[in-house]
Order: sequence, then structure tokens, then C-alpha cells
Amino acid sequence: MAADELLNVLFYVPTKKDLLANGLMFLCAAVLAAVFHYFPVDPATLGALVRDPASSLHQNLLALAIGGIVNYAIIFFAIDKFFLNSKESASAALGTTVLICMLYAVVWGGSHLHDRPWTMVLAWLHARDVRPFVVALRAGSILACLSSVPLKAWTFLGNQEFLDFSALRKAAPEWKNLVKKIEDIPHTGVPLTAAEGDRMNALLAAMLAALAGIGRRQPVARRDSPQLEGALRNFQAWFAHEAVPSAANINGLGAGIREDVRTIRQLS
Amino acid sequence: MSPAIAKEVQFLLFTDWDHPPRKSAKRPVENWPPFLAANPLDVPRIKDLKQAINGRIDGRLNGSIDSVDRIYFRHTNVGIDLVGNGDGSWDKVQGAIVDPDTTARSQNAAKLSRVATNLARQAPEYLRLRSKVLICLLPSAGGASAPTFPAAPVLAVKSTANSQDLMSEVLTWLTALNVHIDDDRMNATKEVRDAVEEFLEKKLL
Repeated sequence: MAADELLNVLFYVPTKKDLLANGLMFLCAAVLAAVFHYFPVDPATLGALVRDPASSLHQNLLALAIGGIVNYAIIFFAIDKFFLNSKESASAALGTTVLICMLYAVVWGGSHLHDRPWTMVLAWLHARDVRPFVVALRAGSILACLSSVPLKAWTFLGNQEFLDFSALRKAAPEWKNLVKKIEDIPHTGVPLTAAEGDRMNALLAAMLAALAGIGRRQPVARRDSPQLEGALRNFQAWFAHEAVPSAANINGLGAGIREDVRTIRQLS
Repeated sequence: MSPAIAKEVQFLLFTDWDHPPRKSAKRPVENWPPFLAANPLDVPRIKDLKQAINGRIDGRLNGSIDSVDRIYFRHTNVGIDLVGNGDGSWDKVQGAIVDPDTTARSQNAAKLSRVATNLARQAPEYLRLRSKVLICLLPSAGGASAPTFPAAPVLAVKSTANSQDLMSEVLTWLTALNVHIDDDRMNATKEVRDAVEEFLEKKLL
């Protein structure tokens, strides 16, 4: 597995252009906050939510968990369409969420430790005191999810170079249902209707068109796309071959097509 | 599919054999022994006949037509349930094996008439030009009279008394089709060459 594919297992991998644009946005937001005291959300209303000295460790962990879950959901739904399946995007969203929360926590921590921050961090590490880290992560996770919402409203859209697999992702569940029906025909005796046969052809065409789209791909999507496309083309040829004179002629999945079906189920 | 890239002609199995008379499970139509009811000694199933036909096609065409260019025989996976279940692309069916006892039961005569009409009307141009739609009529075990077919020159109805007859009819027809296609792809006029390519690409799957 190539390095970028390995990285992509846990992280969303932006293009250099997107990374630069997002980095500049982050930097500008940080400068606005530090120099001009501008925050997308008024810190006065967030004060206790971001940092409450009276909170117990458990309360801090609960707030961190909530911030983490919300961040994860935001990131997952933002990047999901750039992957061939939810398993890959869920995995990539996990590492990305942790990274972003830590980034915000570092910025927040840096702004609160004015004098010799590394000395204090080392002292906490030496004393095995996790509370300051949990507090920083809590603040980071809350700030990350609350700032990402107003940032969405800004004009920068991001990720414009990546290929959107939405059409494939929308078609895949219906394709799986129809294939399950085909698979069960030997037991149920219920054949495909003509309408279902037409639908299968339309779904296959939509899935193949989505895969043939132009644009950059996430490394794991780039790796798996040819395999998925090959399996879909084999299935399309098999379906056309079997559905003669109509889809009612299909009598289950033949042994020769099962491997391709398994591939499509796994990758879409 | 026989070899992965080989083309196959599709024959409709006009039989209700896959519907057992009692409430037992449906039987795969590939296990249908077309001549067993008329002759208990004639036991080959349709899948055995298919294998034998394709084996003999290889033997006949070996040395004259490349294996990747050969056209093989196959049959539908379902019996008469295919008829009346939507319109169907009958232009992609090049033949039928018809059991007269099935035709004599219930509404099946009307179904056969509809199939024959569709096969005659939708037959591709190339098949009209160089061959015919082959209909193999089986012997009746129950004394049913032979079904009637519409008067259409594109339909070639052949009576087959046993497995050997059936194989012989299909082999003769399929060998001729293979030879015509191979010859026409190289030597015919552009119009015929286009027709044969369309037949191969869109009608034989």
C-alpha cells in the first residue's frame, strides 16, 4: 500500500491547493481572533462551554466527547461523497477529527499559556496530570465545531477539485437490493420484473458514469476505482447476457459472477 | 457464457417442466429431459444436450473459425414463465424448443402463438438474410397435435424425434450460421458487413 493510501485510511487527504486555501483560512481566523479579538461566535456566550474551571474531569471529558462527536459528524458528511463507500470515509473522518481538534486545542492552549508554555507542558507531563490536556482538548473540540459552521457560510467552498461520487453512492443501495433479489430467486422463485430489469440497467449506467467522472480522487478511491469499475462492467455484461429475452430469465447469480458481486458489495 | 468472450444464440425452452404438477419446489429447467416423456430411454437433459452441441461445434469449426469467433448454443433459464412476463426482447432469441404437450395445456397455445409471432416480427435483418429462426418441435407423449405456427418465411419449424435429431438440427443450423457470419465479416458488401456486426454486437450477447 502506497504512503498516501496508508495516510488516507485515517485522514482525508486534500490537494495541495485545498490544503493551502484551508490553511490560509485557518491562519486568518487565528489572526482575527488573536489580534482583533474577533470570533465567529461570541466568546462571551461560549465562555463556560469552552472552559469552566469549576468542571470536574468527567464533565470535561463529556464536553470533549460531545465536541468530538459533533466534529466527526460535520467532517464525515463533508467528505463522505469523495469516497467510494462509507466505511472508507468513516475511517478517514476519524483521524481528521482528532487532528483538527488537536490543532484547535494547541492554538487555544498557546493563547492561554503566555509564558514558557513548553515548560508548563513538560511539568504536567512529568506530574502525569492529564487534566490540563483534557481541558485544552475540550476547548479545541468545542471551538472547532462552532467555528466550522460559520466558516461554511463564507465564500470559500473548498474541495472543488475532487470527484464527487454521490451518484454512485445513491445508486449502490438500490443495486444491492436488486442483486439480493436476484440472489434469492432460486429460493423465492420470484423473478425480476421488466421494470426492475430496466432499473438495474439504469443503475449500472449511473454507477459507471460516476466512476468515469473527471476530477482528483482520494488515494483509496483512486486505488479501488478501477477494480470497482471492472467488476461493474463484468456485471453489466453478465446481466445483459442473462436478461434475454427479459429480466425474468435471470435465475439467480451464476458462479462466474459471484466474485464481481462480492467486489462491488465491498467497494460501493 | 461458454468462453468469456464467446457469443451464444439463445433458444427459448417452451416447456412447463419446471412447474411440477404437485406442490413440490420448482425444478431448474436445465435438468429438463426433453424426450424422456415420449421415450423413457432417451434420458439426456437439456444441459447435457447443450454441452454436447457446443462440444461438437468446436469439433466442426476447429481449424476453420477461431475459437473466439465461434457462436455457441445456450437456452433460457426459465420455461414458459418467460412468456407474458413483460414484452421481452425477442429479437435476441434465435430459436425455440417446443414441447407440444405443454402447448396443449391451459392457455399455453396462445402463449406459443404470441412467442412465434414475436420471433417472426422481431427477427434481426441479418438472420432473415442468411438464416432463419429455428423452432424444434418435440414428439408428444400425450398424443397432443402439433401446434400451428404463423406463416412466416423466417421461421424454420423442424420436428425432432429424439435427442440425436435435436442435436443434428441445431448443429446443422448453428454451423451454417457460424460459417455465414465468418464469411460475411470478411467478404460481403458493406451493407451486409454492417448487418452482421450489428447482429453480433446487439443481438447475440
